Amino acid sequence: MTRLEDMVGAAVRDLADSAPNAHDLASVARVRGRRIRRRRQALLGAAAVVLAGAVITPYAVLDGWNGGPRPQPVASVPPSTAPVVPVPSTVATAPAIRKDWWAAPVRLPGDLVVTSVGRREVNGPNGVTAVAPKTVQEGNVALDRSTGRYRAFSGGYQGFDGAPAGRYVMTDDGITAQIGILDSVTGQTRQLGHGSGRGVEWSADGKTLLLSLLRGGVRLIDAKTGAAVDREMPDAIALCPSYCNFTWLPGGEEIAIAQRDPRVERSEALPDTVRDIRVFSVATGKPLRTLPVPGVPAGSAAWSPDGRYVALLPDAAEEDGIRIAEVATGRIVATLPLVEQVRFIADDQILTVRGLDVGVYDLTGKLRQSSRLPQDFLGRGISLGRA
Amino acid sequence: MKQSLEDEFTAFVADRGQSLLRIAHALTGDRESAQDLVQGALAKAYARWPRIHGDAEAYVRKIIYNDRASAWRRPGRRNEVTVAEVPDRAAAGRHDQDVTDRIAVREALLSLPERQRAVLVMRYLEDRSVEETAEVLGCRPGTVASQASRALNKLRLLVGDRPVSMGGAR
Repeated sequence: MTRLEDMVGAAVRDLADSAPNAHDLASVARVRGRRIRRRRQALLGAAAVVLAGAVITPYAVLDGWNGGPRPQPVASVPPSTAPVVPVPSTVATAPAIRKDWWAAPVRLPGDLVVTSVGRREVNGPNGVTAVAPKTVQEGNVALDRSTGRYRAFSGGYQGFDGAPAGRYVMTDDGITAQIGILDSVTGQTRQLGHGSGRGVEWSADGKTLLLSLLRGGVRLIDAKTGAAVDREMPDAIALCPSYCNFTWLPGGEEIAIAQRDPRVERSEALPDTVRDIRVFSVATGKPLRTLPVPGVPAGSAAWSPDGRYVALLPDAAEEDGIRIAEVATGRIVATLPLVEQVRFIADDQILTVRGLDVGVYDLTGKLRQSSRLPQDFLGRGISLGRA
Repeated sequence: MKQSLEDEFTAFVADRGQSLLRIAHALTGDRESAQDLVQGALAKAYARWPRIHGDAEAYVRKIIYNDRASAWRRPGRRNEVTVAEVPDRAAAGRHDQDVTDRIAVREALLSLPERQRAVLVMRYLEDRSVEETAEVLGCRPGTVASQASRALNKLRLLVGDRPVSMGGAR
């Protein structure tokens, strides 16, 4: 064995040795395992339970729309066989970020701001997650748009997801797995009796939360009043892949969910093969059309403002990259490196976040610009929105 | 589920949970992601326990290695480290050099693509053969060898072009 191999062996053993202590694995696995069973039953039409915790969402939000005419629904987008434009007309600039970042909105390329920064992981005895300090450096922090400064809130929330516009933050207490809506200006939280923070998508205007329902359909929650209305779509999840949640489409009048290929045998040890994406009306819940896109949209922000392209999560077709697909044809025009967040900031520019690294790519997959987030953001959940 | 099967599941987790967490932590480099990965795999095992309990460990390990969902489950969850954060190597004595190299390799390891990292963890932590690794990852043995070779070459580039003889997979 070579010296490098020796060092690799030592490194993987170091990593393994620093694993947390097993704590209550069986209890948690039981809860989640029962959810899986209930989901299977739901797919057979036997259950009707709101359990957003059984679905998975990659992150939050924002449709990438950046001013100008309101984007049109995808139906109006013509197919294109032309190659994508290799170089965007004007690459978005990366504004400087001040050292005391909490004193002013943290701006990113594409006229985006950081709307919230989640808590840093804090472990107590035996690896149990503890409450994070209520500080901007380590706690749950949201942009208070009335003052233009960031403010620290309770460090007990496990999920903390600032809306892409407006004053609200979606919270998840991590214990009851129920969400709440925090007003970042008043500091008041409205606790709701709905699912967990996973599988929840903010609308681009920050006024509505979209919850994917296990029984098939969505629940729309008004952030201001907490009022909820359901749209029943029982057949929408009949072919649901592992990432089983709806995303908003540009324009906010339609929602979409991916469908796996039923011809491919499923294995829980492997990613699903996705066949296409179904689109439904938010107003009526009725199916509108099917898009020949072979992947799961990477959130509501993953659609280009003009609806022509969509960024796709890794799956069986591409496990180690983010594919950019042409919506009208399903053609893959580029593949980006695996990142934690991806969103269109213009029709031909895509912003990615991986750790502290922010990148702007064009539609050929070429990195056009890169910048860094503050060191305080390391290991914390970051939500973005319109400036 | 019958009580006997419930008891069996509890015993399995008590017996093998820490070992599974070690693998998951080597794969993710992150405590929370590791726990999430193991809990997710155990949840799937629990949901199918009556059918898979005879070979539960192989089933759970396979899920852990192949589950790509963990990187997407939590916003901002960081399970990869950028090359830029690999520390500079010290110019001091051999011991310092070794320690620095080891840290650099660890950081570089976490920057590898998931599949390459999985191959290295199976090969160097679990001491699995190429054939066993291929079976778990659902690919051909040749793919395992090429992934291991690529990973080691990348690590060599990341930690510096030191005069070490490079080897592929064993």
